[in-house]
Amino acid sequence: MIPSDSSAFLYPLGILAWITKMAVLGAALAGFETAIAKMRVFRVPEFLSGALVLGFLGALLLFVSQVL
Amino acid sequence: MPTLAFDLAHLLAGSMVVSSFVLLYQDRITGVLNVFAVQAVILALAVAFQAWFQDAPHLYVTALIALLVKGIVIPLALHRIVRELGIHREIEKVVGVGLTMLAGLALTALAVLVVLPVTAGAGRIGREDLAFALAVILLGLLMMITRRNAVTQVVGFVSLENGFVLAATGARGMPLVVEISTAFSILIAFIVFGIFLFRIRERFDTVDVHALERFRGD
Repeated sequence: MIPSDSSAFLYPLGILAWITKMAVLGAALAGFETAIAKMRVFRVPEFLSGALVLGFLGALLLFVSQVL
Repeated sequence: MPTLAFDLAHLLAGSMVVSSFVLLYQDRITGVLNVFAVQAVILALAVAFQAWFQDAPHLYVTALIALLVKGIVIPLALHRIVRELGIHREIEKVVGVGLTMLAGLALTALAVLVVLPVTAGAGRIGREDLAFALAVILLGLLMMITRRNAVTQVVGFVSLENGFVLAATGARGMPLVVEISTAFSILIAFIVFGIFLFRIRERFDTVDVHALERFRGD
């Protein structure tokens, strides 16, 4: 896609892509946080189990992309 | 070596698995329907990406069908059914969410471990698409088993069918006529489901399928 001789050009592009990614993820997090009025304390176990599942899922996705 | 195409396919197929998990977790009925619509949109994106990657224009039609039928028509119709049944504010009592999620994780791992060795000769993108498609199918089945409400069981069934479409587009060479007839039969099945939902409600005053157990002939 991008010719290999323009490697000096790739660093600013990479930084730009990283900043864009961070901005998008940050906006998503801000939207999520403001959409929920409050995180109730008695629901913390639920959030923790959700985090556990997401962590396992991330490991699985990484496994698939590493094996292939 | 990772490529952009593989990463995109991985992202889209992985998002479908994640949305299946959200479906398993979500207990508000309108929430379930919205997540289902999101999953259908992701499916349409994944199919459109495969169309671009495989240079197969007929898959764009498949993506369009997925977007229109499963992303718009079925969620809207289900919203209407739920409102007419008067259960749109209801919170479904899902028994043992934690256990269900663990079972879902086990099923996903099983799908990956089963598909990857079997498809050793195929291309990378096809392999990971098949693995995640099997995971989505198994999670849809799990949702049909664990839910008590007939509406969310229907959602489980149609999300299972999302997995079939993802598998069929990942494996090259599915003719368009198959996809159109599948979409059509899904619509027919959906109409039948709708009629049955109203019949069940009329009979038992609820769409909780456990009410049916009293009427077994034993």
